[in-house]
Amino acid sequence: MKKYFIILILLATFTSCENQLETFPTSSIAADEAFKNEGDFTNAVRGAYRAMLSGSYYGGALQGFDVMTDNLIISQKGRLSQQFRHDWAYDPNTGFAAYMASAYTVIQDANFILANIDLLDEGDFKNNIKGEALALRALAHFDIARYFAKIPTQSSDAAASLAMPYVTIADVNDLPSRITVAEYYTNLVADLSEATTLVNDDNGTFQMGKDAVNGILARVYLHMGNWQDAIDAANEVAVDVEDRDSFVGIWNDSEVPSGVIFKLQNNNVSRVTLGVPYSQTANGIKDEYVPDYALFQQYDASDIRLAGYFETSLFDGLMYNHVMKWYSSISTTSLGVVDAKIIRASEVLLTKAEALAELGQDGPARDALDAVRAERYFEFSSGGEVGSALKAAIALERRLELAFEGSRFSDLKRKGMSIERSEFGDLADGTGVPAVFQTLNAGDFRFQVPIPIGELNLNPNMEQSPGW
Amino acid sequence: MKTKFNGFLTLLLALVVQFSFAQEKTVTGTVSDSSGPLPGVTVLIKGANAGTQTDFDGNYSLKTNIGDILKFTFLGMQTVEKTVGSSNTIDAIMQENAEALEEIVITGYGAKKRGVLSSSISTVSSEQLDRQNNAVSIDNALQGAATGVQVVAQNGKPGNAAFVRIRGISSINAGNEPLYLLDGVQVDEEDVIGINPADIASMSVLKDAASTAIYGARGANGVVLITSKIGKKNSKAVFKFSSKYGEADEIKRNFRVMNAQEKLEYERAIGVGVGAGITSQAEWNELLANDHDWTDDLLKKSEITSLNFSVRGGEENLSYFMSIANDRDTGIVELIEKAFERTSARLNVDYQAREWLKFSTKLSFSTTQDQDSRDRNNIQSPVVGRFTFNPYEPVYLLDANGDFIPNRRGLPTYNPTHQGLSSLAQVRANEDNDTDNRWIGSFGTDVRLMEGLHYNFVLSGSYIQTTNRGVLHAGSALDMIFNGTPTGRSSVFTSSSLTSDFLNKITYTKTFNEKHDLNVTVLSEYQQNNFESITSDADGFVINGPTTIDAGSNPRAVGGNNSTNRLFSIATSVDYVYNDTYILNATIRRDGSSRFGSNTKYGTFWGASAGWNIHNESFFSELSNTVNMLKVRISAGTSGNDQIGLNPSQTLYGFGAYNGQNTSVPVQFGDPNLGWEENFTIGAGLEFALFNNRVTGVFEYYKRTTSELLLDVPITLTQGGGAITKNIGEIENSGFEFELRGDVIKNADFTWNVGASLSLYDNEVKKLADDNDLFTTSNFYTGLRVGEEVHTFFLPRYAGVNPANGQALFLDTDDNITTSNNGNEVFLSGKSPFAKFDGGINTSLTYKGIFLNADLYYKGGNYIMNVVEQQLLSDGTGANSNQRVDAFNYWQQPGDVNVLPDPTSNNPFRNEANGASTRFLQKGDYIRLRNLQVGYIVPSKFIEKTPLSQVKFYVTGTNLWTYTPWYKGDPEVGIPSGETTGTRGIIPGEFSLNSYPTLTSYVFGVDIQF
Repeated sequence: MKKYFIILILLATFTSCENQLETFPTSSIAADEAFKNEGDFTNAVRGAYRAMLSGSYYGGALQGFDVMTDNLIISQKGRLSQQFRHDWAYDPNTGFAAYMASAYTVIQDANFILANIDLLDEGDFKNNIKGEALALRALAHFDIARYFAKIPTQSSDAAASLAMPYVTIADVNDLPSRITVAEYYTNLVADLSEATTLVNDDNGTFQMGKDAVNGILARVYLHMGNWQDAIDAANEVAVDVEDRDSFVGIWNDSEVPSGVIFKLQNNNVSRVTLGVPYSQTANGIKDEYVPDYALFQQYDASDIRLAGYFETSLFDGLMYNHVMKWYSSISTTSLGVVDAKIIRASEVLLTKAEALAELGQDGPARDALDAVRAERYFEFSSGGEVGSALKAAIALERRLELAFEGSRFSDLKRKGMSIERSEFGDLADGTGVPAVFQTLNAGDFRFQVPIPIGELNLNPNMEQSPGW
Repeated sequence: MKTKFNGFLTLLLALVVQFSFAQEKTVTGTVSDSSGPLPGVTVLIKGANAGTQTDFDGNYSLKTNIGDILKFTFLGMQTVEKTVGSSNTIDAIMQENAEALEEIVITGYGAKKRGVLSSSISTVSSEQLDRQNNAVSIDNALQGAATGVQVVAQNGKPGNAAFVRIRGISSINAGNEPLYLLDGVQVDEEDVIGINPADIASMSVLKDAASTAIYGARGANGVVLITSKIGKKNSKAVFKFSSKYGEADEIKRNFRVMNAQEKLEYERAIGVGVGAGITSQAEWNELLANDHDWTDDLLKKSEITSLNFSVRGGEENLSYFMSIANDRDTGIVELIEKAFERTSARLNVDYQAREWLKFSTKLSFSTTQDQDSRDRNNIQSPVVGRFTFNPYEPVYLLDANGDFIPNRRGLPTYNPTHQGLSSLAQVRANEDNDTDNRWIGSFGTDVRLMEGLHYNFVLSGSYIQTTNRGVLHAGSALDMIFNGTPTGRSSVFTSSSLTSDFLNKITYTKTFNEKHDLNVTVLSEYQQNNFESITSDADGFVINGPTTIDAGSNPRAVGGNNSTNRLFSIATSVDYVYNDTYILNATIRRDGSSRFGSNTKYGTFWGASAGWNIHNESFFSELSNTVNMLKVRISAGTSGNDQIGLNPSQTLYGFGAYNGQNTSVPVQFGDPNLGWEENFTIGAGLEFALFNNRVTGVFEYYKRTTSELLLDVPITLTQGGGAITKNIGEIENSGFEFELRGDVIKNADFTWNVGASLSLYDNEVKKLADDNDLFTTSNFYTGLRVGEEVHTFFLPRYAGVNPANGQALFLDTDDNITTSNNGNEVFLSGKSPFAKFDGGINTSLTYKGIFLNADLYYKGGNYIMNVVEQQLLSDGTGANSNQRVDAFNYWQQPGDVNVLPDPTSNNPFRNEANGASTRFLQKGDYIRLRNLQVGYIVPSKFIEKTPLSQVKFYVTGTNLWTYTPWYKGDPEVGIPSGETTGTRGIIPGEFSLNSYPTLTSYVFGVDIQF
């Protein structure tokens, strides 16, 4: 009897639990389960848009890069955040690794979709997914290149200089090399052009449809100096500039629809504080950066953008011009949580105007410019500019329209211009403390932000940009 | 003659009378051992319940009857029996009992006599824990108590866990914490705080592979076996009541920050801040009048109270130990009432149901609470604020009449200072309540199947439930910063973790031919953990209204997660001892873990050791009077490390939301062949005891190679960055350990013993991915390079100040002088955050009832990046905030040497000067009086008429004195700040931020036994 008891115990003791040892995570799925049906692809595309809203990309960082330009000077009452960017004191150790990683994350997300795209049946659904993925990949590549690399129109040596790796495969072991600017922009055009043929006419404002892809394509052509291509692409965009009365509502997300062609939706769930580079709220608006008073003065008293972009009010006993572009939204409960506007009809028109003016077609150029100006100034009548005055007017309008959206740096850079801040101080009337560093000369190597040191250590194929 | 006879007769009569009328008589005597009178010896009348103890002079007095047998017992001595005869005086001389002296060491799944142990196990007794009784957590009490065990407190916060590293660092990305087992139940490092130290009977630290192999995949970082107290058979209930009260304060600083006058002068001199802009004397004087030390406003003296009650006893078949305790510490942060509170209870019962069947139940519950805010690295933390806010900035905003200005909540408004927010405003507005409830217990049976053959079944487990409630009061200063309008916010995070463990074990013990001792253990174990968490968050609260989440007008977020992991193991261990002289042990364990991929799910680990008790050899007998014990032992074995997260080998897609709809993106990249980190350890030890065991010592050596290291290999930024975990890399740890103890004086009235230990540590990175330098996400100022120490500092080299222009100079990577520190980082060979040596010196003195215990801890050879100094000597870049007084010593004119860089705007390279460099890298060597305890045990003659059996008073001081020649600040740096932790693989002591300071405490205590 006892013997059997012992045997029984031995059996009980050493019965294996083999099948118990397979456990899976509960909130995620294995990669090979991720693309099984159409819904999975839809989710993955939305995932890429959400990745784009990362705080270190369109969720504040990119818009904040205007601190590197003549649009902004540092506020003495702020936290002095991003001062190293404002002073062009960034270096391979600090500055742009998170931005680079976030933009390439969007590219990786798109590449995963594209790598699996043939699991879908041929047809409109597949085409639209593929088109969006290509457009996402191109937009993120463009955003990387305009900060890290030379822009084709920037200088005569730009085309042959090194851009960045153009990544088209999703493989974490991939160690790509930088390719030339010429080759890189060819890839951008190829992806966007293909996307225009695939993507739906309308995917809503929060995802890219045909208008958005064409608008971005026009933007890319403008940076390449392919004026006619830019005009053609711009002409494909069917969205009109919003009315002057509707303009302010763009910025608190109350005006739908508007001239906003594509923006990233930000809500109480995503809760990305885009406004963080500009200000905090502490018994008033505590600015990190204020508009350079020289820029502020350029806004005419009748310019609706004064109301849309600025507020002049006291903080800590002093009067400041605050940047309100990313300040608040009617649809969220936290300040600074607003939709990230990426491309608007006004930009497309100004792109077209600039390209037309470059081709000497002053009349149509002025018409495009005036289509924007008519919706910004009270009882606007055209200035009738021609030649260089027209070009200057287009450039000014572009600066006024796109201020604080992260495009000023590349708009100066692509024209080979210097960044020149004024002597004005940080207070509302231009007094106060001016920027310590006021000029970044054209041709300065710091126009191409450095490749992060970690990346150079990791990827032997990666080269640092000249000067760093 | 007649007189003489009468006298004799009287005496005889007296004796007879005594014999006939007074069978009962009082016997007195002195008990001594070879070194003199022996206090505390139990004197019992055999077979009766009466008895007493010898006093401090070794004397006793007891009413007996002639013919009674007196039994003298004392721990470590052979029991002496004497029959009461005619004499009224019975003295006894006791001999040391080598057998009884032998410590029983708790080992993996068993226990062994110290003498037949052939592996490396350090033990910490309850007496040692008692000495350090200001420590609320037993991991902190391990510091300096066991060789080869480095203990670094996370910070000074009461109730915070410590980093315990046994024999070096074996891993870079997997965990480095040892496996903690409380009575066999696996307990995470952060849950050790739930254990009441007064409940602990002993701790065993398993250090070598021979002893840890039985824990297989979990044993790589060593094992700490914590054993709770159990009852005592056939013993009347002994009640013990302990009470403590004390105070603590920030440890004395070895630097000073500026006062108002100094700060204003500094600001004026360098042209920064308020001081630079003052135009009138009146304004200057007004600011000077505000002078105060922010430390006094932000921190306070803490109050420590502790109550502990236990009962221990037993009957013939049943024994029990129970305790309840409450420990409370206000902490030193102003406005916080409870930095730590633990209420705990325990019941341990053993029941011999049949001769062959025994049940053991151990149950414990504890609840801990913590109201401190998160240990932030910004001025929301008072610990940061005390150095940041300027001494001329007042605490409150006052109106023209000097009255408080009420804020939206009707409370006095704190001065937001130049930082825009007072730390006090944050502490007042942002509540942070942590409650952790921990149930840990086991139910065991022991069945004797036949002589020497036992079957054990143990079901054990833990249930750990945590809740964090966060409240941001509507209308508070912080609320206005976040939300612009009064909004308020409330959040609740809860988690529960259930671990269950089923152990089946068979042991067979037999002695053959009186010389061959054999012990065989075979076991299987199945462990499962289920974890679940929920988080929820709402805003929209009424000013001064209720703050529970239901009262919010707007739900913000919900979240939650759950996971399961399992481990199944079989193991066997064989011990063979010949004639107490030759010792052999072999262990093998096979583990299967759900954490690993199907290719690598199982791992087999083994350990073996051998020992030789030379003193038991016949040839040694001549020496045995001097050398009482001499043992050599060697060991080798393997162990694994499974602290790597749950599913690291899988590539995973995770879900989220965009525009109110689902998203999916890759969230983890995995290597399907990912397997265990493997440790191979060899070791050797020598133990000895000399001069009647008055001098004992241990000397050990080990070398541990960890291969197949799990490394987070960074993914290129062109694939979005992040990292992938792979099995690459190898590191090696080796070290020597020395331990020496001696009884300097040992007699009845006066004893004095001294012990000292020294552990030497060395480690080296042997292999990395493609042997490229590696910078993991936990490397802030350090990196990994083959041939260097693990986490060697990687910093630019500071080369002083240029006497000509006051600019800071650095060496570039080619050793040329430059003004730029960026990009000039180099590996600083031999400099890492890990100490090269540490140890303890401790001593105990008793004189009659007075006792004194002192423990010194020392450590050195480590370096710390002093970021606090970087901030306090900011070269003008952070001079809006307060600075250290020595910031004045800056370059002012050509020719100035031994100065700080020019902090004025004349120096365009101020940022470079203040960047991280070797300028702020400091040696962390220190020696500290960790513990000093003085007390008095009331002699029994004063209390014998009371029901009390022992009364003890004592005062304990901790961290009373520190000598740190190089480091500015407190050198015990664990975490930089709470905000920089939370990810795996924090490198303890790499750099300092302003974390909760180390404390100096004084505690007065009373122990009463009855």
